[in-house]
Amino acid sequence: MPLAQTLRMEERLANEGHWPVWLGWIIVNRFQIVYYILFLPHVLIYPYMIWIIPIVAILSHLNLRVLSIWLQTQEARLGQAGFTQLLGGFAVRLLAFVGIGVILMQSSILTLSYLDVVHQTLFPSMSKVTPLILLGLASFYLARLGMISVGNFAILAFVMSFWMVLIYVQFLLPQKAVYEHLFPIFPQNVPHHILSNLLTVWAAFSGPEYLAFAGKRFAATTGLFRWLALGNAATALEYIFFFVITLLFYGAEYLQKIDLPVVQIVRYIELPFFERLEMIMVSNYMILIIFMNALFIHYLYNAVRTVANFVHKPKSALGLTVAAILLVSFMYFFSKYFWVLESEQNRWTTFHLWVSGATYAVIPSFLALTAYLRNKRRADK
Amino acid sequence: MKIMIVLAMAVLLSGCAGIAPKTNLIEEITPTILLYLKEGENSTVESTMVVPAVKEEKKQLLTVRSKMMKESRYLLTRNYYREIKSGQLHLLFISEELARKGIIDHINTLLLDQEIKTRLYMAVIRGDFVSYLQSQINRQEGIDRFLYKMFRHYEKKGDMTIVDLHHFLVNYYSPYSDPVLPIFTIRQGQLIYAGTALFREDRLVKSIPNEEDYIFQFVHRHQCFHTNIPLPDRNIVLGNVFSTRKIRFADRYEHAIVNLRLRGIVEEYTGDKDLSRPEEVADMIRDLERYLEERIHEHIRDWQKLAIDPAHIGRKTLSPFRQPFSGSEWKRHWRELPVTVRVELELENLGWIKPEKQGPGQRVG
Amino acid sequence: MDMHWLTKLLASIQREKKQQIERKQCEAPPLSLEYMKQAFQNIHDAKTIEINNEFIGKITLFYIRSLVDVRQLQEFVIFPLQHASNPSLRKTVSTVELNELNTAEEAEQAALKGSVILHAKNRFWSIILPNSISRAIETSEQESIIYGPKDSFSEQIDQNLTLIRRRLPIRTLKSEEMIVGSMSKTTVILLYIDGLTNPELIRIARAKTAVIEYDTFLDTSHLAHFLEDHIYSVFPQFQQTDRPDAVVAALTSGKVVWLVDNTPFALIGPITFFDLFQSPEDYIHRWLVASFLRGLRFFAFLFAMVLTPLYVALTMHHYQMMPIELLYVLLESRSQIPFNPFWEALFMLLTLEILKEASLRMPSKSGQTLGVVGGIVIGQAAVAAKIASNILIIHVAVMAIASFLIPNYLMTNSSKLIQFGLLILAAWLGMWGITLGLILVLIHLHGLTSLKQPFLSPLVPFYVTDWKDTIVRLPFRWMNQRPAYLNPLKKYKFSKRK
Repeated sequence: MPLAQTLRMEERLANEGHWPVWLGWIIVNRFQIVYYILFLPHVLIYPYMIWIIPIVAILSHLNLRVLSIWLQTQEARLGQAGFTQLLGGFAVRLLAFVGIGVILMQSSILTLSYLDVVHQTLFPSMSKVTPLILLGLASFYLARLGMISVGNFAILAFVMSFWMVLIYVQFLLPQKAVYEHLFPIFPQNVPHHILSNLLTVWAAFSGPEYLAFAGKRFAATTGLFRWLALGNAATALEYIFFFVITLLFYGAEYLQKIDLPVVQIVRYIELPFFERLEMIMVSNYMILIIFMNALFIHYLYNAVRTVANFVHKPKSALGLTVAAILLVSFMYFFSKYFWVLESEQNRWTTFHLWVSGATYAVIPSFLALTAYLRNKRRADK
Repeated sequence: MKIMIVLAMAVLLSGCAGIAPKTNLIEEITPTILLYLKEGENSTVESTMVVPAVKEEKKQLLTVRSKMMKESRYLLTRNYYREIKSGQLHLLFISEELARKGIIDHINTLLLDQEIKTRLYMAVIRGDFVSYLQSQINRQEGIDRFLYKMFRHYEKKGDMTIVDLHHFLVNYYSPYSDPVLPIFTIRQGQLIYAGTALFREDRLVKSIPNEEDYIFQFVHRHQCFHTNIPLPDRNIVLGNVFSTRKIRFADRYEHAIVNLRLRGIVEEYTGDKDLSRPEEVADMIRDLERYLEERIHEHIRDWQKLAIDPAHIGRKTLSPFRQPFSGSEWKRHWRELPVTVRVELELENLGWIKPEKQGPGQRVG
Repeated sequence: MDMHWLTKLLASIQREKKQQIERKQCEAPPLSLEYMKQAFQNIHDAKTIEINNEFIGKITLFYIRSLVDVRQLQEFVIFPLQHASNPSLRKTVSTVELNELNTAEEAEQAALKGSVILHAKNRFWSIILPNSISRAIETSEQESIIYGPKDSFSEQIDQNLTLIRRRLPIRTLKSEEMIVGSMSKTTVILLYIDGLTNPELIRIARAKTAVIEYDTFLDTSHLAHFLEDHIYSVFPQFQQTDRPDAVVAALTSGKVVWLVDNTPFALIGPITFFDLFQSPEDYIHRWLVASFLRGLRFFAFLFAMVLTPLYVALTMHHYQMMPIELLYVLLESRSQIPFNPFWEALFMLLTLEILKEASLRMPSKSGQTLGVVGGIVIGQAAVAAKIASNILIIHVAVMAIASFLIPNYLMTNSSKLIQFGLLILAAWLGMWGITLGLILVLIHLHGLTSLKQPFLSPLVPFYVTDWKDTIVRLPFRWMNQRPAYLNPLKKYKFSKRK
């Protein structure tokens, strides 16, 4: 075979190479915080609600254990063929069809919510279509590099977004913080809204279930659990940090009135040469959305191939382009017809909460259980 | 090739959707720094804005009358040939009459406006601010900028009440504290700090004059530094006073004790005590402490009668494990709570010019 | 789609090449005196000398005078042949190497490469006696440093190889000679250290060079364009240097080097994005100073790309982000300018680029005057004529200076293009547009490869040990490992460990 002078897209899509094992923690962490980090304190409000975060973090930790058990089975390591072995051809195609819907909905809701924040903070007079299309283009530009590169891009996404946390540290200092706002930290009676808050925080920890379909991408999955757990712990710490900061700065009653506390708090910072840092912050955030959408484009492409039974054909550039266009056009039509009124948006956000909570709870356990039963049946035989 | 097609599609699509009208071009807007709200007739609000002068224009004031805040800003824009933008609004002044009627509606619109920053300095003005501004504009064009710099300087210094929008709203929404604002008055063509205005919810109920403002600062802040505290009744001026306050509750929150520790020097003393004798110094200190305790206690009683808690003593009832009072319960409890004030005064330097003959135990002045 | 087309084209080119070689071999004319005389017709400096010697017989010499060292020819060949005292040709001209020639093509090539063709006893021989005119070893103009070796490469490949071999007198430094260019027949030497450099890198380098099909190669960049993985990128994927110490440092890290004849620049690959910010001076300063300077370079790169777009974004979309005093200064200065900030910035940037390009072509005598005229007078006049504001002139000037902090000259020009792209995005979408532009650049860099190795190592994929010498430069004693992204066969620099 002649040595190509340029790298063709087919070469990149042919899935050579692996993600290093430790990449798991970055992917888990960034996928979990992708949307909730902006508004979670607004949902939790009271200082004693802070305990929900570690409780749910522990539950999520156990869930990740189940996920890593699934990822260590040989079916997970086989990728597409493994799923067919596990569930049978028809069931796989059916579930892939459902998965297409889930991916399209999740990606649309998350992207449109982010664009809402941009619309509110940066460009009130601009229509949302232009940034939507540009984000879609950027995600496609990333997706065409192949699944391995998209996974490795998580490192860059992390480097570009984690330094924002350092800006917030000043809000822990006594000049800007009122420490009594954190009291009482232990509730005296059972608070209401605890169940809905639990659901929201559980949905806030969701995101790693998408790794269940990326089993064959990791170089090895035996040491994977500790990295997933590390990512989970990092997410929990970030949530607690931001909650504490917004509570110290605003106090519980005022916090109820502010819908994006993590963004609004940055408006108070005054540097000698810059003010209004939330514009930089909100813009930087876009890299997480692009990363997430690029991964979703690949998943969508795989799901469409499964449903349409093209699994045996090699992956092509045209197919990936079609998947990207499908994703962006779905987002566009969704924003035009279903994302207009605020009441509609709230309904879709609640829907998204339930769906992500459900997928996070169900997918790892379902897959691990099925694999276990199959192996047990084979061992009995 | 593919990339070209995709780019062309993107440009076309976004063209259909409508690219943002460039409304924030810096030479086409007028960013204003100062806004003054005054009560007008028939429950309208008069808003006055200082319009910055660019390109040989004259700096001027614009005044509009309207029922609602945002409407007033809309009218202000229409009254000027360049669009007025509030993104750089730094100063919000409110007339005393309007403050007594309630200001939260006006402030809420400011909070909702994404353009306005929350580090907006607020103050209550007593007197005719518009004519003051007009006269100042004729003399020095940058009056709004000078006022902003003055506020910034005093915020850093820390012995005057300087409040921004964020702190006002935190105290407004919290049930354990009430908001305050500084009062400025116009006297002989100058803007002078006249003390602190105390609010119940969003209505001005009382103002503390400048001469007694130090009392409010002592009780209000956890730690405070004053360059000078003149106490003419006692013929003394204290200097470099560093105050620390501690608030305790006793008898299961039935009794509040406010401990104030003051450390300073004597800058000027015109009384008749001989400060070279330790007993007379101790006398004087005791006398000062009693005096301060009385004055502070008087003020706190006033606040309790008016059912306001500007020193946010209520916050001190909270602890990690207990919240003995909910918001409304605290408001009720605060009215009847007996408060004891204890002042501890330490004078590091008596400032007394010592006589030439030195005896034992005396320092060279 | 079009990529398939490209592979097919390459495959067909290779097939044709093979066929051509076979055809040539079948059709090759026989090697004879008549052929030689005919081949060198109309070449005025092609000389023929006939010597008659009683022992050896009739000897005919063919050579091209401009390519051959005539003095050595006279001293080592003609004189001994005229006074030969025994029939053995080899013994007579024992001081030079005799190579037997079999085909006409070999003879032609040898003569054109500076050899003398000797015909005696019905056989053909070639003697390599190239004319050794060359430039003296001078200081590098592109990468001059204050302390450190000052010699640099010249256009003679043998001289360059000498400079390298003097610094690396080891048996494992291998040099493979290849000829590229159907008309220029440029000699390219591939250098690597056997047992250290990853064999996969050597294989890729060799294969890429072997496949090249073009007529003339006049410079290393022409070669680099054919060796690159990504021809559409603005970032250079190989490093070019004319310093032998840089080449030797690259070789000992585990990289592959190409030396090209008739050009003083050597090509180093694979490189990473961070290599483009390294300079030999970093290893001469104290490590804290060197780390500071390196960090400054990265900052300057970002700064130079983003400063003017930031100005445009703030003045066109985000007036709230500026401190109040700056806002008033800008309002005053901008109110007198008839253009949009975008057009103003574009105009000033283009003027700066024109000045920079003009200063390159100017004769050195008028260079200084025009520099003053361009820099100071035009800038001042633009402000006075109210075409540009003071602040923008300062921005553009600072940017121009900051862009020269980057040691790699090709990168400087690459960042200019990115700057224009960011300018357009800033005018269109403000701060969000600049961030989007930077993210697109990041994605582009993420997808680049140099010799099939990822371009953003050691960031992506992450290698911890390589960070000792990327943005900071830690003390030499702590840097005991070779760069991990090159996968060298010998990881440790100190000989005690393998």
